[in-house]
Amino acid sequence: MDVLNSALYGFQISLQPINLLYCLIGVILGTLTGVLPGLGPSGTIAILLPITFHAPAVSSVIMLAGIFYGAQYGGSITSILVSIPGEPSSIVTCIDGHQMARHGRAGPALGISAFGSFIAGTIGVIGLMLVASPLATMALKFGPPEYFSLMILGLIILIYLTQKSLIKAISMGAFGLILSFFGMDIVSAQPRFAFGVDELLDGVGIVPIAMGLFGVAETLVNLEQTEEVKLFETQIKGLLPSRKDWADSFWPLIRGTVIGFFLGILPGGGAILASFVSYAVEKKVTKHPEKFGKGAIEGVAGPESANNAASSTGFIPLLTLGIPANVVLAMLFAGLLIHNITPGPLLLKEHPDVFWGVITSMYTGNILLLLLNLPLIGMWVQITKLPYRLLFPLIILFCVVGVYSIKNTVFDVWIMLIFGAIGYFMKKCDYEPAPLTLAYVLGPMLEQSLRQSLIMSNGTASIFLVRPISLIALVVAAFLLVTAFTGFAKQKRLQVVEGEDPLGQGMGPPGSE
Amino acid sequence: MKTRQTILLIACAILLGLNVSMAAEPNYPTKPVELSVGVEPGGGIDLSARMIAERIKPHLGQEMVVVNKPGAGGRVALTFLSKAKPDGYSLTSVGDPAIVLIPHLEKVMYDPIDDFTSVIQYGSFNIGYSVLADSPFQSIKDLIAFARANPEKLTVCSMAVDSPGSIGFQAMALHEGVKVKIVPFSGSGPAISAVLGGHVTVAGTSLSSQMPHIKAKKFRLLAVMGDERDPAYPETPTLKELGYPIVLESWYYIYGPKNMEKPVVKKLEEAFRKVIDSPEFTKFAQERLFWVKRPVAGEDLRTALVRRHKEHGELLKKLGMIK
Repeated sequence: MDVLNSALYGFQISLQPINLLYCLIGVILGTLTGVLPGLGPSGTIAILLPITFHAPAVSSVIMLAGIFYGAQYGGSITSILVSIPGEPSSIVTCIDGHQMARHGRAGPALGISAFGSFIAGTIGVIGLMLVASPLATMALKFGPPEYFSLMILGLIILIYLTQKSLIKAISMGAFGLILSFFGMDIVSAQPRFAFGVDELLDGVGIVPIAMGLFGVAETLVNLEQTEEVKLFETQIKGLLPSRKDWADSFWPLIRGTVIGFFLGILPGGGAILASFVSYAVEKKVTKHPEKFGKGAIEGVAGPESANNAASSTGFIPLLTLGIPANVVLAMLFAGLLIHNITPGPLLLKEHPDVFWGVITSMYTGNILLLLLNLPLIGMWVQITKLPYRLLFPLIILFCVVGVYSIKNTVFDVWIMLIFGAIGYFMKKCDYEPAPLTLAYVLGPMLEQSLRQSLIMSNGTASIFLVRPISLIALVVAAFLLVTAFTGFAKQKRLQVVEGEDPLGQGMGPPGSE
Repeated sequence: MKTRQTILLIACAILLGLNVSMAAEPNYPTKPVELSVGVEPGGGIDLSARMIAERIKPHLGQEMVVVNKPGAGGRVALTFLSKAKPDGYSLTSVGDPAIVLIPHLEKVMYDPIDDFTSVIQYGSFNIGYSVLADSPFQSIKDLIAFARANPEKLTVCSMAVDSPGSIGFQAMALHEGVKVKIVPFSGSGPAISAVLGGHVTVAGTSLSSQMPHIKAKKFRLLAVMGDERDPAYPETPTLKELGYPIVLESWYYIYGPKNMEKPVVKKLEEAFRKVIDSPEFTKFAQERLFWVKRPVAGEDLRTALVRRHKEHGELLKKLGMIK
């Protein structure tokens, strides 16, 4: 079989000791990058890129790729332990992962996230080998109208991100959308909501927002507790996922992988979107949605596999079309160019060693990551045993340094602190940050694709209905919206009948009876 | 006791170091030089700046540290630079539009020419116009003929409306009296995929972003916008040759704050020139298609920028983008 031969050829390259070493360095650096909030894989790769000029092409790209997917592993560690999303794609993991840690289950949470990432990453790579070029062709079918409808579908998902009030979730979504409009208008290049501040011309930035809303706000709320109240149950209940955890996580893992696999090929926030979608799907299909937000392992297993599968398939547009799907892959693109290798349609023919070497190195990289991460779980879990009076200054310190390191400006630190304060009041009033961040991530793509489509169609909105992919996405979105609202109405009626819940209070998640 | 002495010693050393750097410096540089970049890590100009910084140490005698200050197409970094001390330790690697183009369209916090000292140009890249290879369009003439027959049907993708790729095509359309539609994208990647997928007809992005697809014979390059033909594509005409008075090049250069001392600028220029002329950098620049044969420096660069700033302003006025 052709693919098998190619894979064997690829392994001959990626298993050479020098390449294994580069792969190991890459995944270690990647994990560290993920753990340290702020400095993302793109920053790390940029710093290391000049060094790789001297290394062989395949080795350096293997290392850079290792940083990329290694960071997805590492990003979840801080999400789980201290509710700081190390990477934007692990924002969702904060919700249930951190709750698990507070119930003494940091070990299983970290374990399932490591195994989930491993399984999803590996399946993603297999998919990459088998269907790379048809998938790339499919990705090209997505023009601006298709993106717009997909983003609408994505926005509908925020309904499923709430544990409490649907109205509050929608209002947070609206807040997120408004925030995403800060910065330069894409069509006219005019500044919007910039108030004469140059730093605001590029918008507010997802990392300061997320770190403020999750990390800083969580810390502030925790500070209200007195010392006697234990924030973390110090009795650690097992370091690895139990048999029951595995049973609960199996299908979320598979579904997350599939979701991540397909969303990963789309440019933009593929991995972030995939993690949100996976969370929403798990909450929709589960029999006990009330556990979500309180430490459901499915809420960790699904998104963590989704973001890793997405980071594997993100390579498809790069390797087959020469189009980088995000900043990190753009750096890899540059890395290849430096070695006189042009990623794109001719890569497979001209440099099969690079193509297959890099792809197979992701298998070895995923195994290395698992071997690296499992023994570390014991160490990470110890962090939850630290007294909070020591832990909270450390968390704030990490947040401040991390946010500063992205753009080297104090401005972002202020943004984070402001959002920390906003997040604190949101928590007090039962508003949740997840819908806000999802809307913020989708906002720019939604707006851009809407305006591009309308330019293409001379202002006629029917362009979204005449194109099949776009139509399907809109129909699914409408269907979800209707079922969500009927489920929600039904539940509200029940509540009124039972007289448990006064109006406007604690309207549960849609579809949960 | 011992540690206290050590600390004292270190403190003295630091103070002395500071004193040296504050006095006029005959042996500049005595500490690392900061080279800021106005884009996120990985953007074209970021990589080239890192390439240079990596190699300049033997010629400068000090490290050069790249610091990203992304924002507003380089404007944030330039605003910082305009307020920095002109001691030769703060430099910025500039992408052209923030100097010659944007200040015509929007209020910026700096004077694009007078607030800075121009050190040396190190690159110039072309914007090209490509269509799908299996499209019926063989030349710019075909595109214009189609636009004339079908007003507002020809779609061109580029970055924002004030990007060179967009301005060039609008100028051409204005010259011909035809109406085209510019579809803006946030990066060249998505713009190129939109053309590959057949959603938009013409790609008006940097030549380097189109190169893989031209090589793979998926794209047909119809014209470039530089003053001369691109060395990588000598068969492709410039817009100037096709009869349009439109030359829009994009330059990379090194800026410092205004009032830098002559010897410092000279020293920097020489060090930069050694790196830029090195075979390694030339090869890198050639592959990324921003290679220049004779980089202009110092006063010559300033004169060139004044001229280009003026020319861009006139072009924008003609397009009705500024009054």
